[in-house]
This record gives sequence, structure tokens and C-alpha cells, in this order.
Amino acid sequence: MLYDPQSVTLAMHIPDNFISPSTGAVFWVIMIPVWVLCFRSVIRNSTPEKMAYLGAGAAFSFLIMMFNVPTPGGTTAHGVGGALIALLLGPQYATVAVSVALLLQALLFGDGGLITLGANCFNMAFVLPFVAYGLYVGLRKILPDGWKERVAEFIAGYIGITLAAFCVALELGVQPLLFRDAAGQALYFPFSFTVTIPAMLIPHLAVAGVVEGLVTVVVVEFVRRTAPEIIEANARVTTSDGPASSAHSGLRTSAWIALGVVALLSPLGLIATGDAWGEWGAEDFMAATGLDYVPQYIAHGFTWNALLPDYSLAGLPDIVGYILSAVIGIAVMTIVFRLLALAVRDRKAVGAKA
Amino acid sequence: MASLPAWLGEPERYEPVDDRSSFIEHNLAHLGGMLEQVGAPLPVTHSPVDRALCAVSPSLRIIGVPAAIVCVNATRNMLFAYVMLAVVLVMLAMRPARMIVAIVKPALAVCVLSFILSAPSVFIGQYSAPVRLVVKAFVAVSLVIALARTVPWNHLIAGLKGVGCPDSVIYVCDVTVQFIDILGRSMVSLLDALRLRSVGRDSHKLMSAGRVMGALFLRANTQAKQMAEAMVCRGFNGHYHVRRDPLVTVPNAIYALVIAAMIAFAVYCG
Repeated sequence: MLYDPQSVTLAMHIPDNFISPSTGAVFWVIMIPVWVLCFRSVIRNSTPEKMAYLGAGAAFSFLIMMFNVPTPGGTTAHGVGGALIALLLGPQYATVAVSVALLLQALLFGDGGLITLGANCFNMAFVLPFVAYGLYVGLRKILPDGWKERVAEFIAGYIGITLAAFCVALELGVQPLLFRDAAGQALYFPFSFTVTIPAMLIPHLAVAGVVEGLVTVVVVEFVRRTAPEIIEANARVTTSDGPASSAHSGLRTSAWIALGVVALLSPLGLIATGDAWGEWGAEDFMAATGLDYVPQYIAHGFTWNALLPDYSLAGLPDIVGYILSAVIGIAVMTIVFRLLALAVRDRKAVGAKA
Repeated sequence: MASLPAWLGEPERYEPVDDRSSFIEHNLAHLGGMLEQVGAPLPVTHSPVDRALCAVSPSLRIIGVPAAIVCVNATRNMLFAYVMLAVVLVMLAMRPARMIVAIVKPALAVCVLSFILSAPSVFIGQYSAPVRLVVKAFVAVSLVIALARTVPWNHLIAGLKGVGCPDSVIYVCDVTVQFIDILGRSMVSLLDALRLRSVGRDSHKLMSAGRVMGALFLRANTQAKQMAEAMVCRGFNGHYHVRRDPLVTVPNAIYALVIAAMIAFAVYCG
């Protein structure tokens, strides 16, 4: 069981006690508005059809999550299928379906924790489908159809699950830095980022991401060939301002609200205790990992916060600094994405004239 | 008398190349086990613990079990975790043997996983992490599984109303469990068909697996459509009302007191 690739993706379900109740609570607080928005956008007019499709979609994602996918050498691995559901049915739908599947797994099968349900849903039902869908929609503009479209599907699944794994690594890795008893013993997950990030990212970059990407391509292509009418509405998002734009605006609103919530919640990192998110200095690193030395990168060249030292701008209280840094970070990201979108639009306009 | 053509008379030895299509067997075993759990009738429990707990409303227990898990999780002093371990083990010991197996198996699986993950932390000076995680994992998982195994799933889902879940979410969960059963069965038959047809070496396993999932998706779509139509025929207009259980009863009050005492003890332990 130890070397079974299954344990790679088992790690995506964080069990209870691996993260502190306060971390669990933070993710519940993040997820509740996300759930409300996604559920509302899916069920806007609650017709019997929509309700039945939601149930069937959730059952489908439940089964996909426990489906063993063949890997070379006769072994098998689990996929999450979040990207697949987002591409087939839309990201809000995927959030609801995967969350219901995770709730039932936790409540009826004891798979993944109840306190950590918020965190698990954040990773697998929010980050994974929204990142995958966003990437797919973006990439479709430059990779329109044929094999290029399959590349877009693969990248959506690959990056989606890798980012979800990265979130798991951050959630687990922050535990020993924030929560220690008087003797310096970790209260929850004992390893910090130096262990969790490679341990989660390497298997996902090498195996699980490839599996998720390939499964996404194979299933989406199968459904497209056999029942194109189902997929037309969701996976083939048209770039023109057709009916897809209304779904698009709903997506945009929920993404904005989610970003706002994350920005507002970032000071919770301060309330928890002393140091947070990659801000530990060399001494903290030694204390946290129990190592007698500090790896060179951490001692010298490894700073997350080159632009905003310590996330607190000089002369301001810490919380204000935190919120400001979050706002600045989100604004920078938005500007970058808008500029990218503009570049794509311009290129298309030039192409249309020529 | 007609004679056989010569080619029919020749002996034929066809030995397909051996292949490991473990994904089919894995999935069949996995799904079979899951369907057994979903469709299984509630085991008749003879234990006094479960008889007493069954009188408590599921809504309250859905609050009580996470409260216990949070207490175990949040206390730094291991005394509380050991007391809870003792309570959980005593309750477990009073249950029928088959129920004990059903609870202990998944709980031990999580304990083993916790141990494997946390054991190397000893090398970085975190000596208490393995014991801490394993004890707490056992308490948390056995509490949740005991709840899931002793309360029928539809009562449990209806109990979500007590924690503020809207009716439509409860309806979706209800429909999902039923669809898991229906779609799980069609997946088993798809995999069975695939197993019967796969002779020799299959070099496109991933394609086969993908098609099984794709076919399942189409099946989920048609099934959902049929169900929606059937429900409209029966007068369903999209609104679903879940009956709320009366909360103020003697067993509920006793349960709430016990949970409150546990929280107080957890705070005392720190």
C-alpha cells in the first residue's frame, strides 16, 4: 500500500487532525460564499430538470473520484475528475457536484475529514475546476480546434490538479510553523513547506497530473464524438458574444467575490500566531524544521516577499499591511490577465483585417 | 455426407498474450464494496449504546460528532485525546462484532496512513507527532463511521437541515445517493462487459477506461432527464420540503448535556 500510486492521490483528501481547527474554519468561511454563489448560479430557476441533473452530476463525480485509472506497468491511480466535470458541465456546476460528492464521502464513508471538508472542497471543488476551466477558456483562444484543443484540455487538467496539490502542500506545510507546543513539538502535521511542497508536487507533476490531463482529454473527446449536443453549451465556449457571455459574466462575478473574500481573510494568518506564509526568517526555519543548518536558498536568496517586505508596509499596523498586500497582489494579477486578454484580442483583430 | 473443410479440421492453439488489466478488477472490487455499503440495510444493532443514541435526533448528532472532533483536534494536552480514545473504545466494545469490524477497518486504514506519513518526522525532532496523529485519527474516524453505520443515510442527510443546510441541498444529496447506486450498477455492468471482451494484450487501456467514464456520463444524463420527467409527472415543481424533527426531547437534552460536559472538559484540559 505504501508504494501504491493510489496513496499519491489519497493525499488530496486531508483527514481530520492534519490541520488545525482554525485552519479548517478559515476554509469553511472561504467556501460558504463560494458554495452559495455556485449553487445559486446553477439552480437560478429551480426546475425539476436542474435538480435531477445536479444529483446525477454529483453521483458521476463521486464515481469518477473512486475510479481507478490504468497507468503504465499494470498499476492504477485515482484521478479527481474535477477538470473533466468543469469542462463538461461548467465550473460552478463542478464546484457543487464535487462538493456534494466530498460531503457524502466524508459523512457516509469516513473518507476525508469533516472539519477539513472546507479545505478539501477548496482544493478539489474550487481551485481545480475553476483553474482548469479558466485555463481552457483562455487557451481555446490560441488553440482553437483539432489536436490543439486536446492540448488545451490536457493542460487544463494537468495544471488544475497540480495547483490543487500545491494548495494541499501549503495547507499542510503551514501547520508546523503556526502550531507548536511549548516544547516545540508540532501539534498537527509535522512537516513544513520544505517537505510538503516537493512531496505533493513531484508525484503530481510526474504522474497524477498526467493521468488527470489524459483522462480529461479522452472523456471529453468521447462525449464530444457521441453526444456533441451535450457538450456544445459548456466545453465549446464560443469566443463571440453569444449566449455563453451570460454564463461568463456569472463566472466573473463569482471569481471576483472569491478573490475579495480571500483578500479579507488574509489577516487571519496574523491572528493565528506569529509568522505566516513564507515569512519566516532563518532562525524560524531552524526552529520549525529542527535542522541545525539553514539551506542556502532560505538563508539568502529565497524571498517570497521581495517587493513588499514582510507584507507590512512601513509605519502601518500589520493587519492593514496584510490587506493592502492582498489588494495589491490581486490587482497586479488582474492587470496582467487583462493585458494578456487585450493582446489576444488585438491579434485577432489584426487577423480579421488581413 | 458433407465433409468438413480442411482448415476446420486443423487443430488450433490460440494463446492470447498475457495482460494485466488490473484497473478493471480494481474498479469492480472497489465499486462492489461501495455499492454494498450504499445499498446495505441498516445492521440491526443490539448494543445498548446505539439504542440510546438512536433516540437522539440525527441533526443534533451531526453537530455533536464534529464538536467532539474539534475538541480532540484543538486540545494540546493529550490527556483529553486519551480520555476520548477510552470512551470511543468502550462504546466500540459494546457493539456487535460485525459492527466492530465495519468501524475498525476504515479507522485503522486512516491510522496506518497517518503513521506512515508522520513517522519520518521523528528524524527532524518531532517525536510526538506520530502518536498524536494516530490517536486523534482513530478517535475522529471511528466517531464518524459509527455515526454513518448506525443512522440510515436518508435520516443522516435530512439531519443536515439542523445545521442550516437549505432543503434544495438536502434534496440534491438524497438524489445523489440514489444516483450513486444506479450509476454504480451501470458502471459495474460496463466494466463486466469490458472484462469479457478484453482478450489478449490491450495497449489502449486508458482509452477503454475513458470510454467507460464517457459512457457513464451519457448514462447519467439520460437517467437525470428521465427522472426529472417522471418527477414532473408526479407533480414535483422543484421545491422540496424536509420535515424538521422536534429538537426538544429528553434524549436530545441528555445528549446536549454530555456534549457540553465534553467541551467543558476539553477547555479544562487545554
